[in-house]
Amino acid sequence: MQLVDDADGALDSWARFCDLSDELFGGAGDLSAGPRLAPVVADLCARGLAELLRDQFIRSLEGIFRSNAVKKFWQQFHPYCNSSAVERIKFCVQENWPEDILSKALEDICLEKNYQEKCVLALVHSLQSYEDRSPHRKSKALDCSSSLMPRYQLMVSSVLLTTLPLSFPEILNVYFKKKLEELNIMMAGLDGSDPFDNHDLFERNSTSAWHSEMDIDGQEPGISESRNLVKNIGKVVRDLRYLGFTSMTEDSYSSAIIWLLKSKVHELAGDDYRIPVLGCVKKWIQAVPLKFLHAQLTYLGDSLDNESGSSGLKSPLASRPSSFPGIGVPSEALVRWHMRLEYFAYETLQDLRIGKLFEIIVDYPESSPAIEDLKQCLEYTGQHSKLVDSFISSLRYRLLTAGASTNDILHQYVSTIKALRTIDPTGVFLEAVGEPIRDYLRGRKDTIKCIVTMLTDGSGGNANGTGNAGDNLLEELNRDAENQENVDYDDHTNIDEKQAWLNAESWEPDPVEADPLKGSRNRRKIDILGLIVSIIGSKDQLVNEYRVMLAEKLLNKSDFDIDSDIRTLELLKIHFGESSMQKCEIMLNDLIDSKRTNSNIKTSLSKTSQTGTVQEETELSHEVLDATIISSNFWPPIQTEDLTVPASVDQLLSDYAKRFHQIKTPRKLLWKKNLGTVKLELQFEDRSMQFTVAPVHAAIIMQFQEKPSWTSKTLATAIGVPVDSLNRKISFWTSKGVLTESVGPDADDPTFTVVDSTSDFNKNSTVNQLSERFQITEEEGESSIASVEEQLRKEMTVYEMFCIAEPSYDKSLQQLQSFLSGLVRKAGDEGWIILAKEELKNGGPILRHSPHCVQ
Amino acid sequence: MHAGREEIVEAAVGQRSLTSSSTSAALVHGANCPALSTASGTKMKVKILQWHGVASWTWDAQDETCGICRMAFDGCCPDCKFPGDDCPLIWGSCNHAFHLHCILKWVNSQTSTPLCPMCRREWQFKG
Repeated sequence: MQLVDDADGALDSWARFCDLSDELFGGAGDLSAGPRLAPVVADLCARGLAELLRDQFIRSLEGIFRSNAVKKFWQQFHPYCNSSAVERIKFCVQENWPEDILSKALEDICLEKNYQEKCVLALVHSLQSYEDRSPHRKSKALDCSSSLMPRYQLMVSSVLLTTLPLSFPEILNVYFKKKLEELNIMMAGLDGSDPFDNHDLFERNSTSAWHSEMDIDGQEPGISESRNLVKNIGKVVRDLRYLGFTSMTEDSYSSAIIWLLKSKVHELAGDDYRIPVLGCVKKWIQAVPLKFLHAQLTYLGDSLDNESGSSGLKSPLASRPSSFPGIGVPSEALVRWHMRLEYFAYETLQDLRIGKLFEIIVDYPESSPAIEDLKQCLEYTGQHSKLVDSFISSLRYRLLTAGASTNDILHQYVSTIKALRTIDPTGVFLEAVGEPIRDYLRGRKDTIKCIVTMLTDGSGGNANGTGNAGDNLLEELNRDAENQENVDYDDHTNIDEKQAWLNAESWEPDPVEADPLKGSRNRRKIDILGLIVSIIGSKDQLVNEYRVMLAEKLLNKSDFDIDSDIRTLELLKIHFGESSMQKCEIMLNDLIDSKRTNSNIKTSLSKTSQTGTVQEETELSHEVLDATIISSNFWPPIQTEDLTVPASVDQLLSDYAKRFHQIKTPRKLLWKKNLGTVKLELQFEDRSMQFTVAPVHAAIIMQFQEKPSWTSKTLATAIGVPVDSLNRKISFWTSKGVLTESVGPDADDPTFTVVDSTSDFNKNSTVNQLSERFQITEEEGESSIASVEEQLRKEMTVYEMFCIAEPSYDKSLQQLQSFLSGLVRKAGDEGWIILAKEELKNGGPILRHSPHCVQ
Repeated sequence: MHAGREEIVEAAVGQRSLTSSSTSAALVHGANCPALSTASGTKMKVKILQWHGVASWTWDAQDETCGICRMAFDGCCPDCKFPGDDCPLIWGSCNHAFHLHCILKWVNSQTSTPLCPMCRREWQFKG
């Protein structure tokens, strides 16, 4: 009976509880049913039904929430979620699109949730009042009352998350992007049209903006506007958090911030490398995203943990939290955000710059701001290896190809050295990047020549175009010289100790990427000249090439003006040492001596010619003859060819030589008649033309004074050169239209005739012809100095004789090799055996000689 | 070098304007008697404005190298930097030649009467 009565009472109470809670839920803001709940709840609890009661309560709340609020909430977003990708874009373009819908939907659902929470609170109160009255059963009911609210919250967020449409995060993302952009534009507008044009101004402005924003609200319309904007966003964020979307919201706005930051970096950094952008980016980070975050955090009340937060930070990067203008001591969260954003900015900019490093280095001196930015970025991110890999691959693809001229490669290499020297003073990465270039250059034949031209010319061997970069090496030589001088000023006894101490103090370990096989000492000094010279291998080769080029240049001079050459030589002497430049110095000295001797001889000759009466028959005056007198032992081998100059000139030459012998007894003068330059004028009836030519050309054309046409064979005999060489040389005159070639009876022996000006020459162009001047260009003039390559070839002919011997060599290549290596083993001092050794080492020339061997 | 060459040509052009006026005078003259031009064979004249030749010098010694320092006569002795005037040759009365500096060193190092290092005859400078 007791039991039945008890059960009836329980059922009764349960029914009443259900009625009351329904009344509560449906009350539409009327919470009057709340207090009436207490006795029922107490009764049910006393019967031990507290947990059941709680679960029932939550379940019915869930049903209501699901059917009313959640459905309505998601319905707001249905049009977007159900549309195709293209239509979604249309949504995004609408001005107030996610904003209006989102805030309204959030408002509605939050109202609903708010009301339900009140209901929950009513139950919590009832439970608590019961617990207060019955202390002995405290633990269990208390459990129910305190877990009620968290359970409700969990229910709300799980209901929302399980019904979440897939594209909701996307909507949030769009919302934050739009809002941040709005804020960005607003901030930019605050500081004039484009604050990033003028950094100083911007800094001042933004600082003041910070202050005014903090202190006096709404003074300027722009500031209050931005504050409202931030407030609105804050409201949305708070509502979202309230619904349990905390992490999704955070994801959304951080990805929006990162996206905006990325586009900002790209916008600022563009393709212009002449302005530094890192500073602007940093300022922008503080001006827009950080300000936004700060306002957000303040609004949400998260940044109150100032003292505890910032002091607890251990990260070394956070050592400058005081750098936020107007915020004071920032909260830990903000500092973390700042670091995160800056790192991201560094990384983005770094990737951008690394991708374009090749172009940046191409216009290096102008693009140094970009290099400076990159350096700072890399200091933060430490991703040097990324740079190395990407740069090497772009080098391979764009520079180290057959189409690139050696000069361009060298110039790019020099710029690379300079640029990477800024980024990484230890030179570790330069080493990695430079190696492919150096390897490639070693495979090019004209590398030495180009380097020497760059060293001496200043024009980089390229008359037009990249001239300015070519100055660099000469400049380097200069700088080298200056350094040398500066060192001299210091006290020599002190410098070693002092320097050693300084070196020891500034020692730093090599970066991790360094190649341990290479001593760190080698890379301490990044010396452009040293690096360039080491491409070739030895300075001797370079000096030798320089000597050949210098000789070529000096022999083709028609005056004795060598000031610039002397200067270059002095600089080279400082760099390569006096002894290795000795021969070059003698060559220049020869020119100086020649100038003096030349004027001596000419004055003495003109005296005699005044006293004598020979002037009449030798129609040439001694005045026209100048001579460069060389100490042939110190010059590179000179190609001497026989040449019979016209008698009048020959007379001049021998007079000159005789006079030299008189002045400088017992020294004698030996003419190298094929060398030098001749300025002459061809006089026709109606025009005259000037040429600067080689002696052989002069000898050819002078023969045509006596006879208007010559066959090539007779002419060759007359001037004492081989026929084939004559045919080559005479083409200069035919190409200038002075001579014309006609095939006679013998096809091998063409006839050359002077072009009859009045009949054959285009009369209309005579005026032009008069004003024309001709010079042998570099291509036409044949080199008078044997190039280094030719010198080697000449040495080879000695060696060749062993191969062409009779009877012909009939052994195989392998047999020859083993024979030679046998010789090498027994090697004495004989030159040719040593030669053989060298030959064996590189193998190539042996192959070149193998045709001889086989024949 | 190019600049220098150009200047000279420039200067030469100045001269040429004179000569070309004289040739045009010759042209007027020549046009009047065309028979002359064919008879003379050629109408072209070559005028040498400047002949810049290259020559090398040599001591006209019988031997190639100095018997004392074994360096080439046309080179210089080990103490000198520049050959030629700075490091002349000297002949003894025995007709042996040496670098002046080499033989002086030799002569000064001898306590008794110096002998020619080559033929051991008494060393005397050839007047």
